[in-house]
Amino acid sequence: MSTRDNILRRLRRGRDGWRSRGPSAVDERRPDAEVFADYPQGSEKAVEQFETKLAALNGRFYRAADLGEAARTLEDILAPLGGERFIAHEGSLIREVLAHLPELAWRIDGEEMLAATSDAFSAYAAGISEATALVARTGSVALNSRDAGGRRLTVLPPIHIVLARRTDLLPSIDAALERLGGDDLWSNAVLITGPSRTADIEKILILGAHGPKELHVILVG
Amino acid sequence: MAPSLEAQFHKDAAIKAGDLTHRDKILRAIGVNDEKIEALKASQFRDWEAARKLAGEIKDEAQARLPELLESFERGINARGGKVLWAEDAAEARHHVLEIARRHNARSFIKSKSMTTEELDLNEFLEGAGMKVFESDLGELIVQLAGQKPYHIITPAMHMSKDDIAKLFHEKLGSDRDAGAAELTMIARRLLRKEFVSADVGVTGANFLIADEGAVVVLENEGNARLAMACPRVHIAIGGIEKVLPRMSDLALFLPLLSTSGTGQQVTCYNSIVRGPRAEGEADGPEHFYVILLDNGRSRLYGREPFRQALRCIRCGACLNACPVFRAVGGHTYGTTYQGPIGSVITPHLRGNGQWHHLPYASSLCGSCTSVCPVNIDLHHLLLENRRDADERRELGRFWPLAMKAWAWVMARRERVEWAGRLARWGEGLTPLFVPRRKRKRIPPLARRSFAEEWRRHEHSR
Repeated sequence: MSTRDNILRRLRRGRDGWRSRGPSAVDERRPDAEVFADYPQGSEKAVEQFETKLAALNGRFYRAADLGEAARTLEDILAPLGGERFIAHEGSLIREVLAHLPELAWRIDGEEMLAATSDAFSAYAAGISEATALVARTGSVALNSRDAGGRRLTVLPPIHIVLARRTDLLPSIDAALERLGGDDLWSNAVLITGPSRTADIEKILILGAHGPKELHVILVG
Repeated sequence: MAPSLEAQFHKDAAIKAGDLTHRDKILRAIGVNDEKIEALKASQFRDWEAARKLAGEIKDEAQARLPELLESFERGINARGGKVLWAEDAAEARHHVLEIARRHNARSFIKSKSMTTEELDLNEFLEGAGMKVFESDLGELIVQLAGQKPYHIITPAMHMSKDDIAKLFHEKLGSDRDAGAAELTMIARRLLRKEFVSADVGVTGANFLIADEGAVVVLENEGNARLAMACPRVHIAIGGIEKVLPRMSDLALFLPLLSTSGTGQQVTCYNSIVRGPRAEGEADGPEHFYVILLDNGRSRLYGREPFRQALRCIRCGACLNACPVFRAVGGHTYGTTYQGPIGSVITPHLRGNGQWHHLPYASSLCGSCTSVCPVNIDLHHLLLENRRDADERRELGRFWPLAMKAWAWVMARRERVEWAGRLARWGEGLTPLFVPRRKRKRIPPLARRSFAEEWRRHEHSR
């Protein structure tokens, strides 16, 4: 008999000896708004709350009225990085924004480099990806490996820039999970809440432990 | 002969309890956490008590359906090209890891923080098999360099000051003797970045196993677990069989719950959900994804009422921080993978070799652990149950049964109690002869008159 069968059999036998099994399913989940005191109310409040939360986590938030303004914002973020090169996933939103930045385009590598070696990947000063959702309650960004340009783009470059549309801003983790779960294609998803950090030494907060030191979120529309 | 585990525990506990520098470091670290956690519970949850009750119920549901949920999890992972392997014990899990390494010609491992892999002593084993292994969580790297085990399930280097760590890095890595926390973190980043981009296998733990989707969920702050599942060719996730949650949507509660209780964060920085190896059309990701489901005594605990409740545990470390005994004796004294109250509840069952029965006595039964547990485990009652369990097995000798008989005889009659009290007051001066000096306890003097005598005097004078 295999280990698998042994373990499962032992569990079933163990369960048979319980005094009572209790309910077989928890009587429907309570909506987030009932569990969490800081559940955002209303859509403008949601933008405000996302901004406040992200700022408290040392992330940077920008609101752009249109694609042109998003492009200028992106340019401003990248400006101090002089001669460095960047890597982007050419999702539909990023393509539209980059169309406004022809003079920057040659410094931004796209799809063909996303599969480069991790060594080559380490040379990029910033990675640009598209969010699946933003979570207003916690200031988190939800990304999936298919629509965000893979896994490394979100963690290897020292600066991570995320673009999102107004419709991507959701109130809660629950809503973000639902959106992620509705897509069957990705292999890896992540909820990113602020830049990489550690407090393993005397509980002192240090940003940029292994992942990006900076996280910028541009909300378009 | 080596001293028994129990004797060793008493020896280490006595040393640590008297070490005031140690106590200072621990109380400061825990104090910083406590304030954040309490504030966050109040600001984030409408009703923290209701939230943890709900979490306990969801975990109970997962337990009631555990075999079926594990099968569902396995189907999900296998359907997306991953592979689920089952391990009866640490040896079988280690064997799986080595087999995977051989199959894929792997020589180097990068590990993110995982208490489950601590059960396996995986680092020592892989190094013994000629592999290169790096811990990548900063706290884990620190204890790895120091040749120690994690001190605390969430904060492995809680017992070391910035200065201790600067000295360690200076000796092992040749860095500046006076390096600050930021500098030390950047040294670790640079050192490990090289290993991340070249390692063959990334090993992570699993905070949750999602049954309906077939997904592994990993929480962290540094980005090292994310790198471990992004860069290497092979990703191995190792998780205990009790880590199952029925639905993906349960994470909406459990992610904030674990982060709040563990580190005082609303959610940790990176919460990764892994459904498989690189999927078709994706830019990168490992070619191979394995999940090792570890039993290692858990199914034994599962079949034992009332102890199975402890399998709800999500390893947040809150009960360690709250425990006055943990604060006094420190994490290493326990000599276990899981320290503090939860460790003292589960270790005697998981190890099942009869050598850990002293652990439930390392508690004042004050109930602090129970009051902070985010999944509502009745920890101090389980500690009490463990004591009963231990006493049933323990060789009591002649003294205790006799002493208990004498006690019962005295307590049966009022006047005997009175006489015993008088006898105790008369012999009070002799007590230092019976209390070993090393216990250093100050024994308060007995009252000059018993309550009953006082009462009678009072009645007379009225």
